Amino acid sequence: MYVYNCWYAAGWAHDFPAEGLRAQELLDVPLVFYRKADGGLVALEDRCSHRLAPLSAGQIEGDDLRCLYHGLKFDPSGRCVEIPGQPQIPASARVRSYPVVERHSVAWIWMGDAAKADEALIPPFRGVADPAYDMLPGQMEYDAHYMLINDNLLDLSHVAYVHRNSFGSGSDFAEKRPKITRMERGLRVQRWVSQPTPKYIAEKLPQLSHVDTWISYDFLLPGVFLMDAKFFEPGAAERFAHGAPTDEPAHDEFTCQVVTPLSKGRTRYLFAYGPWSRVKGLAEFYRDVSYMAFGEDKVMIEAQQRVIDRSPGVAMQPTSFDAAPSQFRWLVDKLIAAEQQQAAQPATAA
Amino acid sequence: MFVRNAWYAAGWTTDFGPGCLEARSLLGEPVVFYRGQSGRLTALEDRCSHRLAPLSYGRIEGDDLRCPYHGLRFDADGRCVEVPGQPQVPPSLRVRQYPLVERHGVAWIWMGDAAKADEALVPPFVGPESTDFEMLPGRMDYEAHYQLINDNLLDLSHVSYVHAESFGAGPAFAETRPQITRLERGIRVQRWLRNNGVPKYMEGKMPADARFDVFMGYDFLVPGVFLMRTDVFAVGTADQCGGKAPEGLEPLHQEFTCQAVTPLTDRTTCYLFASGAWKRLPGLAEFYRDVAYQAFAEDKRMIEAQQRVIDIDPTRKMQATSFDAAPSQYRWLVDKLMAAEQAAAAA
Repeated sequence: MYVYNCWYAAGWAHDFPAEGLRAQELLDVPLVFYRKADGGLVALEDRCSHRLAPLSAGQIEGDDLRCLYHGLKFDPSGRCVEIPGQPQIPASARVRSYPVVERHSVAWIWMGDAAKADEALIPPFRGVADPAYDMLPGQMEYDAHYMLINDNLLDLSHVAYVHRNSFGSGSDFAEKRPKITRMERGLRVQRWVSQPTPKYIAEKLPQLSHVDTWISYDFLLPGVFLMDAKFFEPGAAERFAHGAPTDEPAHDEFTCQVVTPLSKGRTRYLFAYGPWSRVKGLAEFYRDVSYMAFGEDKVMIEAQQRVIDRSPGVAMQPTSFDAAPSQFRWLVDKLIAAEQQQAAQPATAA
Repeated sequence: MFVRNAWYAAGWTTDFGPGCLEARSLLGEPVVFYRGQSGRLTALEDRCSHRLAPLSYGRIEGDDLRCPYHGLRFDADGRCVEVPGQPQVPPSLRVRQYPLVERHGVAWIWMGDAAKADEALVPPFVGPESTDFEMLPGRMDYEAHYQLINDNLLDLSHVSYVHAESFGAGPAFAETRPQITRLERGIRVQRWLRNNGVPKYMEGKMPADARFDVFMGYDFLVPGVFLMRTDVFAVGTADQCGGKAPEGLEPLHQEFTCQAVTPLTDRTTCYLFASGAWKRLPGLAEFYRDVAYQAFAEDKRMIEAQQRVIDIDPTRKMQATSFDAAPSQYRWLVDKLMAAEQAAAAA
């Protein structure tokens, strides 16, 4: 079950080479990606309409893609433009083409009704090209349902347990509840965390043994996580009356992450994490910390998925920390239901 | 399909050392075993009631277990006693606790209705802790349904074929039919092997031309416990006893083997075993263990291959021979118990 009318992150834009084909499943749909002569990225259904061969085993010819089974050629709109040895091309010889937009260093693909593919809905992502932060791209794939990863990102109380060895934060994450605000297509989660300077960053902030950190993130459909962490001296949370800080912090870091279902049981996770760009030379350090920490999440979530798969009918029981995961699940369920209802309605004459 | 109201052998008690924290599937259910500070061995559902994470990834705190995902802490009864940052702990936050008893060197777990977990039903096991026999514990896991292993243990006619290399007992097993007696929770199987030569595995330990009458008696008990004693007598003893069990006769030699078959899933099974001689003949524990590993590996190869054949076409039916009385009766007993449990659950 997926929300379809959404821009999904198919990958970092640089994952799609200037030449060559890339086969990739998204939302259980087999897709083939390639670039046109002008560099524009094309996404087609990876299934020739003739005998269902994978077009990703084919070859690029100019801006078109030729199936290498019986030679049918498709243009970037998915229309068949040549059937070798047959002058007539029926209109039904076509594969589905998906809208793709490269923006904020990510290739976004619209998996739903192409007529609704509004570029204004592309998430306000800040990726590795953002000049304000010094970040390197990372990614991993999970053997888990995407919603378990969304849950994880929507409830950071797990940081105190799962990430003891990487981030080494104190227990504040597990003991204080954040403020949650509903947005039109997501949730905003904000909190102050007061603690000894977390292990991973202690060496880089020798002037601060303790920090008050303002942690604020938006979690947006279909699975975009954008978090800013501003580090202040102890007492800052009080000074700003536990609201958003207005001063310049001692240190600032940002992380962008995006969760994309490949199939029901497999999910791609893109991420980048880094300090503000006035600190130089820490991009690789942050990338390594994030690989370590997200490796911890992956171990836990894949194990959780295995338990779930062996537990048919067993329901989760929320605690008071599950407000954000529960609200986001509610939002996703609502959108899925609305899309299904719309699909069930008879088409009306235009 | 499993009988649930039974004590299953989860492992040798020595498998669960101090501070152990081990995940194991039993009867298809995820279970975590841990030994808390007090030394008590606890078995809980390996699935945090919050977000269904595996508790076996967590850590022991005193006699409690803390989930590694969001830090919920469960006591040895499975009750959640702490939700970090949340003062109220609703009673619905709990995981199932499985009754567990350590007895006769085995950790027994009750997989059914806890209210029915009667310790009097723990099988009368005789294992490595026995004062009469010298045995070392062994274990192997099968990629096969547990009932195929039960069948194997309930019909020893296979010994003449499968174990020609290890036990080397000759054709007698395949040529004599044992006497079978129904027990309340199992089957008793007894037989005499008359005028038997020295089996291959005992060659060198007795005169090559020696001949004996051998009495073998075993109980096979629910849910899969095999307890067999072998008494070796002079030739003629079987007839002297009128083919009945020898009562009050002192054997020349005595051996014992205990085995327990525990389903992990419907295609994987844990097999615990120990074999040895009476303590009058000391120093043979390792010898008997090595023979057992060799022989049971022969069973494992055969039974796993049988399972693969069965899975190729699950519609094929087995056809019983006259040697299948005990396996058939035991399957009937297990089916009856499962049907009774299901009827009780539906009532």
